[in-house]
Amino acid sequence: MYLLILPMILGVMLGITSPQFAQQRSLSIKKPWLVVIAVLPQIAAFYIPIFREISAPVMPIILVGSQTALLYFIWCHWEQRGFVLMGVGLGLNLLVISLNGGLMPISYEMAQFLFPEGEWMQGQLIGTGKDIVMRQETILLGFLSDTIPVAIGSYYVVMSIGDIFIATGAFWLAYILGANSTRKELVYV
Amino acid sequence: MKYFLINLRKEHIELAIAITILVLFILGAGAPASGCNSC
Repeated sequence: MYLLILPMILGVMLGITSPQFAQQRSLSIKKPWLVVIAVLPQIAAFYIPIFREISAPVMPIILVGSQTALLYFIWCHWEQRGFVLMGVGLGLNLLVISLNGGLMPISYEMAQFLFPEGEWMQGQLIGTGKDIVMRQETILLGFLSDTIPVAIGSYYVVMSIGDIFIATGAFWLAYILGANSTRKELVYV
Repeated sequence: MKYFLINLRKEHIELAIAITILVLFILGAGAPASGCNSC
């Protein structure tokens, strides 16, 4: 997840230092509460151990429901380019997740890339993430699943095409935020 | 000056809220798997 947040940090920093490329003067975020409500069940189900055990049987419903709500949030911001990129990414992730039972499929090969010592079985969840191990040939629209391996030192990540769209959109929006945060103060100095 | 300080604070709060919303969105929309190859 940190790999998706990194472009945001870079975007804000670049926006503050080089704001001249930002064409959009402001970023309007409507219904921010929707994101909080949509993501809270995911945080509980995937990142808090107690809730994780309880919610195991309904994890696919939580993930698909939560991402559908986030897609509605994107619908409310369709006129802003960065949100469109994030929406395309979310849509691609949601599509492959929905077609494969409600969790993000990952092949044995990619699971082995992340944890070479691990022995993986069909249907096994990876770490605390949203991924479920499946045979490559059984994954519907497999090219949209987690198939892109990235290594940064000893930190290994497998991303989907949708994740790349989300990271690009986040960078774009963060750049606008950074650029506008420097402009407005200058007016009043 | 007072107006500048109030405005500055408002801008920063807005920036912090927007970044928080984007981080939460990424947390919910993204689905990368991570691991430690050398662990």
